[in-house]
This record gives sequence, structure tokens and C-alpha cells, in this order.
Amino acid sequence: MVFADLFFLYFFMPVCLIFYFMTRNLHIRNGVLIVFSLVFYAWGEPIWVTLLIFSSIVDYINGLVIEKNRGKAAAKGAVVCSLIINLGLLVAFKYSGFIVENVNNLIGTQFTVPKISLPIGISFYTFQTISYTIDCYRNRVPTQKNFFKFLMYVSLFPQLVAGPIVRYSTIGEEIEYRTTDMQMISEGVSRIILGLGKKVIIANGIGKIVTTCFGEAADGYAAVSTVSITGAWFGGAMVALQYYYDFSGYSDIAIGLGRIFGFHFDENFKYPMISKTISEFWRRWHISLSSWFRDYVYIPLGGNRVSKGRHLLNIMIVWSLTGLWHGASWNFPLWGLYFGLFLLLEIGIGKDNLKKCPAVILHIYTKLVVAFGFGIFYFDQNGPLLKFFKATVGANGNPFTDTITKTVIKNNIYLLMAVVLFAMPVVPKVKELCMKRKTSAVVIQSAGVVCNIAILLICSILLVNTTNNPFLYFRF
Amino acid sequence: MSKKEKQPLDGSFDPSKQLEKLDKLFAESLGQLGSFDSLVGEDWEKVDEKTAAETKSDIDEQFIALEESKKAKKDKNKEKDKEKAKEEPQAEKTEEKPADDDDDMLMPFPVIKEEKSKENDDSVLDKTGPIPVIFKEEDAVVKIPTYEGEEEELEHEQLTSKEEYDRLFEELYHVEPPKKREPNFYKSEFRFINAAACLMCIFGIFAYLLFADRESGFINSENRMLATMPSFSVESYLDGSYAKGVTEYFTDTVPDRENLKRIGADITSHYGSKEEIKISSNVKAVKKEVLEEPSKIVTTATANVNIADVLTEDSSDESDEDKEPKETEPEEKITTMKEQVKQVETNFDEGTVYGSVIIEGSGKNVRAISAFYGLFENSELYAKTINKYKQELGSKVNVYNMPIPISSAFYIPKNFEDTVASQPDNIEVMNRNLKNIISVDAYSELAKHTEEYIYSRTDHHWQPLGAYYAGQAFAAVAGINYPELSEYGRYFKEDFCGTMYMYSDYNEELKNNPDTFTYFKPKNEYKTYYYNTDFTGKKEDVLFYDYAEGVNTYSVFMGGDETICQIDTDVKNGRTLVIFKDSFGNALVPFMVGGFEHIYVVDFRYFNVNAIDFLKEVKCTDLLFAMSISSMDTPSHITTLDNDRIQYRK
Repeated sequence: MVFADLFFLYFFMPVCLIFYFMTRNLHIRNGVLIVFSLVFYAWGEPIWVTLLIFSSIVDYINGLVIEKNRGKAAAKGAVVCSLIINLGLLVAFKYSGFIVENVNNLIGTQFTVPKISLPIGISFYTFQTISYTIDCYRNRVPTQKNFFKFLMYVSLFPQLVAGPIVRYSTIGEEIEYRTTDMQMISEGVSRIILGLGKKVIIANGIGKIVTTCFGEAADGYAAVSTVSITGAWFGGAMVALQYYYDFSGYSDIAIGLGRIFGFHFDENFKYPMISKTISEFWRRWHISLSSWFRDYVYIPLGGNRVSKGRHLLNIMIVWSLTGLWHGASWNFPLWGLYFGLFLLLEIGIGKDNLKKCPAVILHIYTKLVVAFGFGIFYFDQNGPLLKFFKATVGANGNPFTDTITKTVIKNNIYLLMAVVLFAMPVVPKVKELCMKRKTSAVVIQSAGVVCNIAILLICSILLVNTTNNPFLYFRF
Repeated sequence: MSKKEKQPLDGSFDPSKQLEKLDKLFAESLGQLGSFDSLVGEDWEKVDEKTAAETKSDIDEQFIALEESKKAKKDKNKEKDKEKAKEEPQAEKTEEKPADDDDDMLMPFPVIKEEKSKENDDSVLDKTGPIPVIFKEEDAVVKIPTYEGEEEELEHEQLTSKEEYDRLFEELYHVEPPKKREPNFYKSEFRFINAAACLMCIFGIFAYLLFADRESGFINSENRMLATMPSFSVESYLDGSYAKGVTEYFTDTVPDRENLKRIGADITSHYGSKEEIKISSNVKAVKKEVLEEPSKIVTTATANVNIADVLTEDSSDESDEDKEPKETEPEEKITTMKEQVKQVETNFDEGTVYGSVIIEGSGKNVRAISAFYGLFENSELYAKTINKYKQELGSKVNVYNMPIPISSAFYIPKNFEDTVASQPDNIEVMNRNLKNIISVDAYSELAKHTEEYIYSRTDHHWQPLGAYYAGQAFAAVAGINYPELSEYGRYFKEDFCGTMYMYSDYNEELKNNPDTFTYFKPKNEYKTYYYNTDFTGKKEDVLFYDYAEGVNTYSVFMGGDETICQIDTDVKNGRTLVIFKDSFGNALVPFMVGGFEHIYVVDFRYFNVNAIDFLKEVKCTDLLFAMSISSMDTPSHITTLDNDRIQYRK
């Protein structure tokens, strides 16, 4: 099941809320959450829901083993076991086809390429269970002795299919004890509606622009062969913005739902589009993923406290893995490496030197790098990707601008203005300003309520027509 | 009370004692409230105002004090809870219970509970009383007032007596007084309003969708049946189709979805400025292919219009059988042995094949056109595919090819011309590759009449008038009788809003400016029969389904595509025309009634007998391929056409 869908909004969610708030008994509430989460997952993956439960059992046991054998070899064994099983699942379900295909191409063998449909969200929950086991081993979180509470942590439906990757340390205490008050409900509902608006009104709108510029996987990205230079850069920027609005919208809904149930998830996006440097961009973009890789890959590799060469290698390893996490095709690790290179470049220049640069130049540099980067992200076939590269520098003989790009900009000019505006923290700033004085505070708070209702209704109407409502995370 | 309250929070603060103190204070204040309550009436202002004011400020202070202490206590408790949860999970259970239980003895704040009911019951007190207490479910948080008017006054009061307040506070609690509160500005009220409004909206729609009558049946603008609630079975659950079906049903059958979709389209139309040209759907530019040499019309074959010839050929059919095959069949046999029906994705939906929609103009001139993306290689492949028909049929059957341009050939905006493939160039490629097939130049004929109503503006089909002109070109090369337009009966269908409305994502302009569909009925005598797609089940019916309406107005001809149609006319020239067509070809059929003795109309996409066997069986003298150029340039369609020739071979 996905969030941006009438069935979720007007059936699953209300029913879940009714059952959840029917009782104050936390045990029953936990039970409600587990049942609804499993139904939620089984809705899209009726068979592979077993995989989710299997992964939970494995790491639940690993946690207990670590607890009993602290400091002994068995604890280490449990961590290794968790890594092997979880990464094994991930490789088997997500990368096996990719690996076999490449082995075939490389050595010329004729292994049949396994056709396994990727269970939705597998990358998210395997990463969560891995983080739990490692945190247990590092003694950062208390071991969860109740299996059902642990299952609730893994299966919690707000963050199940499209993140964020919630650490056990973030919500461990709230699994044991949590309450919901009016403030949390109000904030939660507002957050859900905000996320919905980002996804349905904005991201879906940009999605159409992107397919006009670049085509889509279904038609083999036909349009990219004729796209002009400006069209290519514009399209790349649009891909970045589409993913930003779509993904942060989903995260907002997850955070909002969590808030209503009494959980406080960490923020996953902090206005990445206002970044001045690529390293800042990655501190603001999909934070739960980049911090996961930082804590469980980069730092164990030695981080920056090793020799210079090793440090650079570490960065490239982490970033190629980050890229690969997004999907099983070559453009994703390439995308990761691409950003890794710019991070290296920024390390080479040094923080102080970067600060001396005029802000305008830094902004232009970052935006261009991001636009090009998300072009790489978009094309999961090599042919169109190459065509995109050529188009960005005009090497395919296409003109500087083209009619379709111009028309599509004109056709969406107000949407694009909104897109640029809301990519900056305008709303929170305005709100903060208004909350200083009484009259403006009343106005802004009333406007907030009205906007919430309006956005909710608009999204609902737009969702009636389902032809343009893509789910972007089926590869993750 | 549980032991947590006995723990001192810091050196000077003992919450349990404080609680007792507070309880006492509270009881006192309640007593005062009671007396205050009695003062409230019609003439309460007459009562000693001084005492009233004193009581008021007294209660003020106590409430503020109470609130602060509760807050402090709550925060500490929360921290402690967390600590405990970490250290001793057992303790947590005992703590949970009181919150769940309604027994007053176990409630952490029994007095407040009482207070709550009092406050809620007495709305008059709420107005006049100094500080209403706001309750948040089980947490019982005491909040400072927020109703209009009085707040500023209260704030002022508090500011003037701040020093005294601080002193009192220190004396009472032995802790530093809190810093000045952040101004509240109705935050909690707005939180409540916001949550209530949004949740009411969600739950309201939830309830409405649960009980309202759902849409069902045929949906005209999308030309399909709406989804129905799937029935549950273990298999359908396991392969995910059940869940998918339910979700689809839920969205598909939303009450009044047609209007909602229109509103949705209206919303998205405001994403940009109202331009003369609007791209709906995914228009993609295709690298324009250029013909290597300038086009020159090469007629590779001419029709054998000598009826006597045809007839003699027909009569000598059987004797010819031995003669003819010598030329063709030996090599054919080898190839046909290898040939197998190829699997095609059965997506014959012409609309999605067209895919990309450009809308230009406004008002009565609005026109939705689908861009053309044909490739030369496909045109070539198509030509080679129908060449095989000719090869198998031999010289006794005239084979014609009529590529029917789609409206973008004539009406695409000038600045888009370079972004789509050229239709005449593709036709030219086709013609160059045809062998012994007569090409019918519908394009040039139509190009002469672009000022007339030859294409629908809201539908992807042409108008019958366009078909008339194209038929003229065919009649010229086929050498048949072709009556003037005036010799036909003329019929109109108003308010025809065609398929482009849907493919343009419900463009309002199209909906508001529908087409008029004009069609023509031949006046000579004819009889019409229909067969199933496997050429069985012959039954007589009318040629024109006059009741066709809405988006399906175009199926006025033969009621649609999924039948084989036979027309026997009063023209006794011994010629039998077989039309292999897509839906574009349907409009041609009425104009052929005056020129052939027998006409068979076959939709190549829905044809379940062997084409060659069929053609021989009906004694075909003229075979016409009449379909839109987009069908001719779609590889899956070409494969289907090829399969028709190969499949079910006897």
C-alpha cells in the first residue's frame, strides 16, 4: 500500500486511528500497530511479508545473544550473523539479477538471469534491523526482550515502504512508553497533509515535466535523444526536484503518522536545495540514509582518522555503496561515485577556502552538480544515459533550446515558481516571524488551518485520477 | 502513590509534600470558587467588588503556582519514566496502569479531575472565572487562559505583580521562578481547531465513502467498465491481485468521479499560463528522419480494373491454381515452414499508441492532436509485411495500400513540426518498399481539403468527410464507380466529445467545444451481415449503428471493430473488396458500397482465421489495407498483421 492513495487516506488510516485510540492500554495499542503494519505491508507483498517477519526474528534473537554474551565471541558472531542474513536477503532479492547479468556479460557465461520481483521496502527494513544489532553490540541501545515490540519497531507502517530509516535508538523509549496529546495530533495531521501536498500536487506535476523532457522507462527514454542542451539541464534539475518533493513528502507523511502514534522520528530532509556545497547537500538530503552509512560503514572503515589515501578510498567506498543502495543498475553506483568525487574535491579545497568563495558561485556550482547528478540517477539504461551526457554538452548535435522545453516551461510556470519557492524554508520563516505578534499570529494560524483543509481536498480530488501518480521507490 | 513521587527532584524540592500542599491549596481555592460561584448571577457586579477582585487575584496566583509545579513535576516524571524504562522495565508496568485505570485512588491527579468536571459544567464560570484550566486527555496539563480580551489584561496584571509573584514562588517552592512565559497566542486553541478540522474532514470523507452509493458500469469518457469489487480467494490474495483490485475499486468508484476528475484537470490547468498551445500527456520529440533523396512518386503497380479480366481470372481460378504457384510457392513454402506466429502484447488501444497530445487554439477552434513518432524502419517493415500478402495472393488480386494520415499531418503547430516525424516522408518510405502493390495517395487528396471539416477536433479519428476524399483517391486507382457526395444521405450527431478529451487529461476546452459528427449513408441497395472474428456465426444487421453516442460516436460504422462485416450490394460488377483496416478504415466502408458487389471488412487486430485462406474463400478481387499511419508504424501492429497471414494455416 502507498500513502498517496485514496484507499490509504480514507480507509486504512481512519480505521487504524479508530482502533488505536479506542484504548489507552499501550499493549493493545502496540498490538493494533503490529496488525495494521503487517496488513499494510502484506497489501503490496502478500508473500514477502514473511521475509519481514523472518528478518525481525533473526535480529531479535541476535539482540538476545549479544545481551547474554557481552564481550564474548558469540556477540561478535551475532553481529556477523545479522550482517550475513540481512545483506544476504538484500543481495538475493535486489541484486542477484544484476550480478548474474554482469557476470554473463563479463565472462560470457550463460546463467539464466533470475527474475525476482523486489519486495518493497526491503532496503529500509534490513538496514533498520542491521542498525539495531550493531547498536546492541556497541551497547548503544538496550536489548529489546519482547519480540512483539521489536516486530513493531521493524514493521511500523509509517516508515516501512519509503523510509526514513528509523534507528532503534530514536524510538526505543517510545516503544516502551509514549503518549499522544493534542499538540502531537495537530502537528502530525498537518505534517501528513504537507507531505501529501508535496507528493500529489507538486511532485506528480514535476513528474510530468520530467517525462516530457526525458521520456520514461516504458518508452525507453525516447525523448532524451532529441532533448536540447537547456532541456537536458532543465530536465536534470526537474528530476532532482521531483525526487526531493516526492521523497520528502513521503518522509513528512511518515513523520506525521509517527507523531500521531506518539513517535518522534528524526527529520529526513532539511531543505537540501538551499545547500551551498555538495557536502552540505548530503547533510540535508535523505539524512537517515547518509547517517546510516556514516555510522555503520564510514566510521568502521576508519573515517577520516586514517592515512589520506585510505580516507579518500573510504569516501569513495561509502558513496558507491550509497548509490548502489538506490537500485540495481549501473547508473546508481555511478551516481554515488559522482557525488563522492565532488566531496573529495571539496575536501581538497578545504572548508575555509570554500567559505571565502562568494555565495552566488557556490550556489550555482551546487545546483549544476545536483542537476547533472540526478540526470544520472534518472536513466537506468546505459544508452539513454549516454545520450543525456551528450545532450548536456550539446555533443549530440541538438540545438540549444527546443520548442517542447519552452512550451512545457510555459505550461507549468506557476508550478515551477511554487517549486522553487517551497524548496527554500520560506514557510517556517514566515511562520516564525508572524508568531512574534499577536494579530499576525492569529492570522497565520488561521491560514494554516485553512491551507491544511484546502491541500487535503485538492490532493483528494487529484488522486481520483490515478493515471499520473507514480511510486518512485520500487527499486530501493 | 507510586514511589517515584517520593524521590526528591533536587535538593530543595519534595514533590510528594508539594503535592499535598497543593491539594490543600486547591481544596481551599475550590471552596472559594464555590462561594464565587454563588456570586455569579444577574447582579454580581453589585457585590463588593473589592473582595471579588481580591479573590480573583488570589486564585490567579494559586493557579499559576499550581500550573508551574505541575509542569515541573510532569517534566521530571517524564524523565524519570524514561530512566526507569531503561533501567527497570518492570516498574514501567506499574506506572502504566494508573493512567489506564479510572479509579480515582490510582489517578495521579485526582483533585484536578474533579476540577475539570466543575469547569466544564459551568460555562458561566468559564467566562468570569479568572483562569480556565485546559485538560489534555490523561496528562492533565494545566494551561493559562487564552480567551479573547482578558488575556492582555491578565498579562498586564501578572507583569505588575511580578516581583511579588517571584517572591511568593520562591517561598512556596524553594526554586527559582521560571522565566517569563513565551506568549501563547492561542496556540493550543489553534492546535485543537486544526486537528479537529482536518480529522473531521478525513473521517467525514471516510464515512461518506463507506456509505455513499458508488459509481459503477460503463464510463463514457474513458471508454471502459469501472472496476468492480474483487471476490476474495486465497490465490487472488497471494498473487496480490485481490489487494490491487480492492484499491482500484476504491478509487475507481468514487461517487461523482467524472466531476471530480474534471475539477482535478481544472486545478492542474492552473499550473501554467493559458497558452495557445498546451502539451498534455508526454510529448516526446523524436529525431526527425530525413529522406535521402527528394520524394518522387513511383507507382509500382496498377490495378487490374478490367472486370472481364478479373472475371475470367476468377472463373479460371481452379485451372490457374496449378499455374500460379509455380512462380511463388516453392520459395514460399520454405519460408512459411519457418514462419511462426509471434507473441505480441495485445495492446490495440490506438489512443495510448498515440500517447502524446498537443492542444492548440481555443473556443470552437480548439483542437487536440496526437503527435506522430513513426520511424522509417517501421514503415519499411510494414511495406515488406504486406508485400508477403501480395506474394501469396498472386497477380489475380489487386492489393492496395492506403496509409491514412492522422490529424497532426495537417494541423500541428508550426513550431512543433520539427519535433515530430514527418508523415508524408514515412508514406514515401513505405511506397518505395512496396512490391506490386498499388499505393493510394490519401495524404495529397486530404491536403487539398484542410480547410474543410475532415478531422474531428476532439477525437483521434477523422471525420467521414475526410474518408470521402480519401476514398476518391482509392476509387481513381481502383477504377470503380464513386458517387458524388450529394448522392448520399447526410446525418449529424451533435455533442461528440471524443477520445482526445481523456488523452489530454480532461482538457476543459475540448469538453466545452465538442465536435459535430457528420456521416453519409449510401442510397443504393445493400445487405449487411456480421460474423464473429473466427468467421462464424453469420447474422444480418444494419451497417449504421445510429444510436452510437458520446465518446463512441465513431462506432456508428458497424458498431465497432471486433467483428467481420460482409456487405452485399446491388452493384453487379463481380468485384469483391476486402478491407484490412483499423478503426480509421471504418469510415471508408459506406463509400465503397457503390463500387463493389461484395465487401468484407476485417479488423486485422481482431481476426482469428488465416488471412490468405479467408481471402481465397471469399473470392477476393481487391484487397485494401486502409489504416492510420500510426497503426502502420507500430511494430506490434505490424507483427499482428503478419500473424494474421501465418496463423491457423490449413
